[in-house]
Amino acid sequence: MKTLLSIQLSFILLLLVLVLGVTGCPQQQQSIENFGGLSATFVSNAPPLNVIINQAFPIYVDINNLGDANVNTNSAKFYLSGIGKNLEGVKASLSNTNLLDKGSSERLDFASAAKSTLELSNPFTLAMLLTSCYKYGGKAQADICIASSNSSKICSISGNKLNSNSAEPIQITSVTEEISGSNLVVSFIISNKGTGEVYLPDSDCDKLQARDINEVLKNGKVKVSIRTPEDFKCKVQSLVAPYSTIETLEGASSLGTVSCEKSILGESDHQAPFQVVLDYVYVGSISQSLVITPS
Amino acid sequence: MKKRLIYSFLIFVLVILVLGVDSCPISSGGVGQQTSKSGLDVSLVQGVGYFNQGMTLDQGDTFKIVLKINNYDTTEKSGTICVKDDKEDVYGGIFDQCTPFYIQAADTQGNVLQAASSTVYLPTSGEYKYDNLPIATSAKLFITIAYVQHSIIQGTVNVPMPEVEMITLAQTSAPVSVSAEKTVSKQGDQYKMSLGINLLKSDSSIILTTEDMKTDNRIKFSAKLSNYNFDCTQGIFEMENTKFIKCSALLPLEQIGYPCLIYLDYGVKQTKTFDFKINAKEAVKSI
Repeated sequence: MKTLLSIQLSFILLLLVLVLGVTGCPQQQQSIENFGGLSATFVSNAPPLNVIINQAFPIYVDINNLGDANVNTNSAKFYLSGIGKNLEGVKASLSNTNLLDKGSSERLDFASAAKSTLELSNPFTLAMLLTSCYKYGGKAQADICIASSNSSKICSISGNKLNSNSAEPIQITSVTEEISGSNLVVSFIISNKGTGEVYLPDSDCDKLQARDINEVLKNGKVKVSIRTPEDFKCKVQSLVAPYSTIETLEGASSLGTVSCEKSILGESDHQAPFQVVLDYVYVGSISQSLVITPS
Repeated sequence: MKKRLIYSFLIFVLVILVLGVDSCPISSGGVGQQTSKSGLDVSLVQGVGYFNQGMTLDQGDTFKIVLKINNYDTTEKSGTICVKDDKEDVYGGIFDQCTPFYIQAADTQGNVLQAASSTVYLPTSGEYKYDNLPIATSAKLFITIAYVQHSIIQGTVNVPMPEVEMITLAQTSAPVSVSAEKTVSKQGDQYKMSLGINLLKSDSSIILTTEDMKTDNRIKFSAKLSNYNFDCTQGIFEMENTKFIKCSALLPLEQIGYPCLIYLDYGVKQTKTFDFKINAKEAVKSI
C-alpha cells in the first residue's frame, strides 16, 4: 500500500517538475491574448528567427476573433513597426479584408519576400512590433434591487449583482448597490482584462499609431451606455474634449468605478435590469525578434 | 522508506531541472570573445643559435633572429617587419633589414579565440655576426612591425528611446578603440539622431596613413547607419591620441534599432627593444 502511494506521489512530482521545466523556458513567439477581442500571432517561420543578408522570407500574422463582437471589414488596423529601411518589401500596415465575427480568423500578408540588404559585420537583431487597433465592445447584464432599505423582503441590496459579461478585453467586474440617504447608488467597475490599452471609440488608429496628442488624450477611456428602465443618473464624462463631468446615461468613462444614483422616495421594492454597454478602440501589441546575419 | 522517497524526489528534481535548462533555446545575443591579447604580438623564439633577450654574444658568434608573430584579430594581416641594432655597420651585427609578412585571421570557433601565427627568420639568408668591436659593450635590438589595420566596428542605435545612450560597440581590440554616444531630438516630423564618435589611441603604436605607411598620425574614417543618409565628415583625419567626430541622421518617428558601422583604416607601427651584450675581442682582452 505504502509502495503504491510512493509511486503515485513520485509520478505527480515528476509531472509537476516537468510542467515547471517547460514553463521556465523563454517564449519564442508571442500572441496578444485577451479575455476576448482580437488575438494576433506571428506565423511560425514567417518570419524565421534567423535570416542572412539578401535571403527572402515571408512575414505573416494570424488574426483570430476570440470575443463576441464583430469586427467589420477594413475596420481593424495592423501596423508592423521597428523596421524602417532595415528590411525591404514589407508593408507597414494592413486592415482585415473579411468580416471578423466570433471565432473567425484571417491571415495577414505583410511580406511574401522581405529581405535585408544591410551592410553588417556582426549579426544584427531586429525587433519588430505588431500593433493591432480595432473598435470593439460588448455588454454586461445585472439585476439590481430597487429598495428603500437593506432589509427588503423582495430583493437584497448587498452582493455583486453582475449576471453576465460579453467575451471582450474590457469587462464589468462588479455591480454593487448601497443606500445613501434617500438615494440608491449603483456602482460598477470597468476593468481592462487584456494586455493592451483602451481608447474612446472615436479614436483614429492611424493617429494613435503616430502618437497624435489629441488622440492620446482618449487613452484609458471607454464609452458607457447604461440601459435600465429606472431613472438613474450616472457620473460620466462628455464624449468630446475637454471631457467634462456630466450626469446622464451615456458618456465617456475612465477605467475604474462608475456610480449611478436615483431617488428611492416613494418607490416600492422590486428588481430591475441594469445593462452596461461598452464601446471602445482597443490597441494591443506583440513583438518578434529577427536575427540578420552577414552573408 | 520515507528517506528513500525524499532521495528519489530530490534526484527527480535535479535531473528534470538539468534537462529543462538544456532544452531551453539559447539566446541569439552575441557572446563576447575572451582573450587577454589583442592585435599583433611579436615575440622572440628561443633556441640554440637564436637571438635571446639579455644574451651575451662573443665576437664571431653567429646567430639568427627568429620571430613569432601572433594575430589575435579576426582579420588577416600583412605588413613588414624590420630589425636593426644601435651599433655601426662597420662592426657587422644586425644590419637594417625588412621583410614582408602575411598572417591569417584568428580563428573564432566557439567562444575561444585561437590566434593565428607566422614565423619570420632574419637575416633572410646567412647569419649575423659581430666583429672588431674594440671593447665589451651593451647593445639594443629594435624590432619594428608595420601593418595595415582595417577595423569594422558595429553597434545598434535605438531611436528615439533611450534619448541619451552610450552605444555598445562590437570591436576587436586594436590600437585605435571607438566609443560613441547617441542623443535624440525631434525635428519636424522626424527624429534627429546625433552620434558623437570618439576615436582613442589605446597603446603606444604610431598611427600612419595607409597610402604610404610613412606619414604619421593619419586615420581614414567612414560610417554607415542602416540604409539611411548618415551625415558625417568622412575621410582621412589627423589624429594624435584622440579624435572626435559627430554624425547625424534624420529618422522616422518610430522606435527602431539601426545597425551602425564604423570603418577605420590606418597603418600601425610598433617598435620593441631588446637589450643584449657583446664581449670584447679575445685579442684585445689578452693585451
